[in-house]
Amino acid sequence: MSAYQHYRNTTLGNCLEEALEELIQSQNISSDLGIHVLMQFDRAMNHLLKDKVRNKFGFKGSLYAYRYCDNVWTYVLKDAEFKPSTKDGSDGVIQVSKVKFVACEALIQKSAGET
Amino acid sequence: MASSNHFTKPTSSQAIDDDFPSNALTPHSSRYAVRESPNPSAIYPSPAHFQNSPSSLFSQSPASPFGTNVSSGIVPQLQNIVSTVNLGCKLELKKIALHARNAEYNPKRFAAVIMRIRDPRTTALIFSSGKMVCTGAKDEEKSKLAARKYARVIQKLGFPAKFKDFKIQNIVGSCDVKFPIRLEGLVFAHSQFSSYEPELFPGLIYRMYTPKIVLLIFVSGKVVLTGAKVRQEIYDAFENIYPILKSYKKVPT
Repeated sequence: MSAYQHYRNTTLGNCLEEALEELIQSQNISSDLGIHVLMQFDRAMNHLLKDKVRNKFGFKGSLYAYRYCDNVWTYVLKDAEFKPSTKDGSDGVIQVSKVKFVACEALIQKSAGET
Repeated sequence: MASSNHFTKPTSSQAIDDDFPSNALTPHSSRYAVRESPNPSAIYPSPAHFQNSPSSLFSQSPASPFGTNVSSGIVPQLQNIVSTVNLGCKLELKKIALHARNAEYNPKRFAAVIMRIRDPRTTALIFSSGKMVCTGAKDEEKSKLAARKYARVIQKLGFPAKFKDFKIQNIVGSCDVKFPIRLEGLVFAHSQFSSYEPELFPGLIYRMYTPKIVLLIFVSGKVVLTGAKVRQEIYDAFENIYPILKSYKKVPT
């Protein structure tokens, strides 16, 4: 049961990897344990985003490029706008000039990540 | 399934299915050379060309040729061009799919990379053999330009792509005669050329022999013409069918 590893490339994932690397370097933990922690992180991220997170965002933008290869869709949206689907007006709207979506097939667990 | 077969048969996808692997890309495209830069004045049917003989307008005879008639004054608009070209080198489709933008590659479903560009708005099917199909352009030159752009994309990815045997495989046109048509009457008199199965497809399918063009004729008066290799065939086919359609004009009751 392996999980998608693309959440390692988030701020949280990067920090975890750095911290683990430091601990391994100073021989406080074994590299085996480090790998285990990262795998646990993958599972936890996939599980949490699927089952625990209830916030929803709507988004729109113009499609600049797309790709489908190896069962992964990649989209690049230009001038995208993310809106939380809450009733309280326009606060929380995030605007970005470019955003990339990576969407993987939901084999083990549903996952759609953003890098 | 029967109905979809019925419908898709004369459309552009047919050209891909039928012509692509077998005969489409054999290295003789001399015919295209004549067509390279179409001169509109030479291509559009001139009204003077058609003699004025109204009697034949109401001819019920389905036999070809269709006789001389007044020009319709309607010029079919080209809607889709399908062309093929040989890039002359083997291609690694996965590399293309991973490095080019707007590409789709799902070898389980279809053994080609599907790539799109915005100008001219077209879609290309790129095969590992180096052969390519370009669809969606609105005229012959745009189809060739688009095919060249795709070839350039492939070149930029590091393949020694050439541009051999470019050929227009199919031209689709459409127009509106602006009066309703009695398809039942038409299929009865022209049964040799027509098939009309409203339960399968709402249009009448008319297979003209000369030029060899398939026409989809709808009650509304809209006509789709397909199967042409050169645009003049579309124009000729429409000028042939127009007097026939006029004689089956639906009279308001």
